[in-house]
Amino acid sequence: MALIAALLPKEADRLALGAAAPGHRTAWARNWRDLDQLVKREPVVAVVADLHAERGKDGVLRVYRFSRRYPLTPILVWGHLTGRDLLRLGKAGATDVVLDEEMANVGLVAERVADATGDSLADEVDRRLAAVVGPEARELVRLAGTRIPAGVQVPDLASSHGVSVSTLERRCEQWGLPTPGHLLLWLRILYGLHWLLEPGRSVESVGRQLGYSSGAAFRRAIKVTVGGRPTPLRNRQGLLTALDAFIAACPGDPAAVGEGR
Amino acid sequence: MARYDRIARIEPPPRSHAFPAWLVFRDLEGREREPELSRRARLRFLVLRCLQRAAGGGERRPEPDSVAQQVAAAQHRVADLPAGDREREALSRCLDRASALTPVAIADAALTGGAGCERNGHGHAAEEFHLTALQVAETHDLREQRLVALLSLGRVCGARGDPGRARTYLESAVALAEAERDLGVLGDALRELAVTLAGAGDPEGGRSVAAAAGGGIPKAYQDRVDGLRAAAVCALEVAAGRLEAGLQAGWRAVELLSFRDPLVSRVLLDVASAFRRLGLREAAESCYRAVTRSAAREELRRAARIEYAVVAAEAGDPAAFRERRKTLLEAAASEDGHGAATIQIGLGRGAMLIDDLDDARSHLRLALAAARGAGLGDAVPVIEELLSDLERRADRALRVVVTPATDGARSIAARFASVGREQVASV
Repeated sequence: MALIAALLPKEADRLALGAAAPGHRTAWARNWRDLDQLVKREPVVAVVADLHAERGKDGVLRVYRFSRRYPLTPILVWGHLTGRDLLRLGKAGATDVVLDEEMANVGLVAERVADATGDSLADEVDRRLAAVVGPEARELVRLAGTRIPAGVQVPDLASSHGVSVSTLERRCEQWGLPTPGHLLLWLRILYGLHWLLEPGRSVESVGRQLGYSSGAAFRRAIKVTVGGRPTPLRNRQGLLTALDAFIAACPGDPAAVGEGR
Repeated sequence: MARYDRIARIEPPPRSHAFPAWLVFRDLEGREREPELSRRARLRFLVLRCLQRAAGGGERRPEPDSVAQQVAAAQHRVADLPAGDREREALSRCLDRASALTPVAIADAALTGGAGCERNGHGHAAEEFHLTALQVAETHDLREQRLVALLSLGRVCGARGDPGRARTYLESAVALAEAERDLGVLGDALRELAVTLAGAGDPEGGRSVAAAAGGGIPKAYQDRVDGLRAAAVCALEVAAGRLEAGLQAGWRAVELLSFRDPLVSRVLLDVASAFRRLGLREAAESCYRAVTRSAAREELRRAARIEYAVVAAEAGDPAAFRERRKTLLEAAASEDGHGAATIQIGLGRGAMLIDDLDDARSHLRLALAAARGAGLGDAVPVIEELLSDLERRADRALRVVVTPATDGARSIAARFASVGREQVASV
């Protein structure tokens, strides 16, 4: 269940989004500034915005600024869009659009929302894990990853997997994964570093989104797991280093890897 | 809103970084406030999104009902275009085919849409349609559609001044046409590739490509393959300004190819252009008459009719020009916006050449109205430039620089004139 930040002043549009994305939570913004703050404050995975949400404001310019501040957060632009709007939106970095004649098409809007809420980091983690653990372990990690933005804890993970905490611990050991607690710690760090690639986010805001009491607590967690401070890790190479360290921290299960293939 | 547009200054993203089908809007760049162009670009976008979604396979296979709903919404918008509008018919046909949800229907629909955009001068939209067709054709191993998509992409990229990509597509088209033994596409692709290389300052490369082409085709087709090679060399040499060499290659192509071969009309147009630049008006007119009578494609017949009139103006023969203009104007009445604009531009050029400035202005204004009404992409700037030249009395750019013809060129001209007469008599 992902968190979507939405700037949709019209009730009909809100209902259309709700119908197309029933499995997701939505945080409603009042205006473009509020939308920006929401993304900074909350673990938002995608944004949906009506281009004409604020009268007299150049919506495309707002999209452009947003995509510069949050280049990894997809922005799906919604509304009555002319050819000129669409030309400018492509340049401004909009991830995709939903035109007014498409809004009533629930299947189509659901596909666009699904594309926007896709988890590229989960795909990357899964690709690397395929070399060390089996399919069941990868499934568990993917499930845990999708719930990191929602602040998942070990009991929640066990429950959503349909087992007790102690069974989950045993399975993690059998499958060559770190303990559930360590797994979630690693995933929080990885998602945190992924979000920190966006200039609009700060260590403080990301730390809070991940459930740490402060930015300092998040810094300490990074130091304990990856080593070093977060700032030098605020680049693609830093995230790749952390991913390597996570894979190295997995005991692995060579037999299951062979079976999985 | 700011009086200047900050977004306009941003470099356009590559296709892979923009949202699907965004490329169609690049045809609006610099003219994005023209409402008709904007509306039509948006319609092309809607149609392309239907095609691309319908083509989705595997995990991305959409619900057929949802695609049908999307197609119906797009059809509704397309129906806002005036009745009888060619683009309305073409887009509507695309959508009908897309709703069949089969790869062949989707690829064919995308190729049809691309051809329409190319004709109307919307190069980026044409590219996006053809890329969609290519992707579907490659995914489902549809060789015929893949071949046409590669050739079309090469042509579109070449026309837009991107010889690097044009060359890549055309080389693939030549290789695939050889493998499939499709001599029709091989001839077209080879000609385009040779001209592209000549335009990029590599005529030697073009000659080498033409010489090496068709190696895998059985010996039984050798004459036709040699004819295709000669047609490519003719186009290349004329484009490179080596007119006599172009005429020799053109004559060889005409000898080797059947007059029913569609490529012959192109050869005759290339050769006619060379004759004009050598001051051999009669031979050029003979070629234009032959194309007018025998070309299978309406575009080629129209081009020949227009140039047949303009060549008279160029030779300082106002009476012949006016006579031919009358025939052209009768034809223009039944043409769509694109055809009418093309004819009026030609007549405008001709009238400027005989210093009939009022008529020239009138033709160009009619051309502008037709082009705007049909939302043509590349015609409007051309007409505006001609009108500006007209007001500045700057018609020199229209005049062909004539190089004195050699005896060799005159001898080939005589042969073409005789072939033209025979061919005309046989039609």
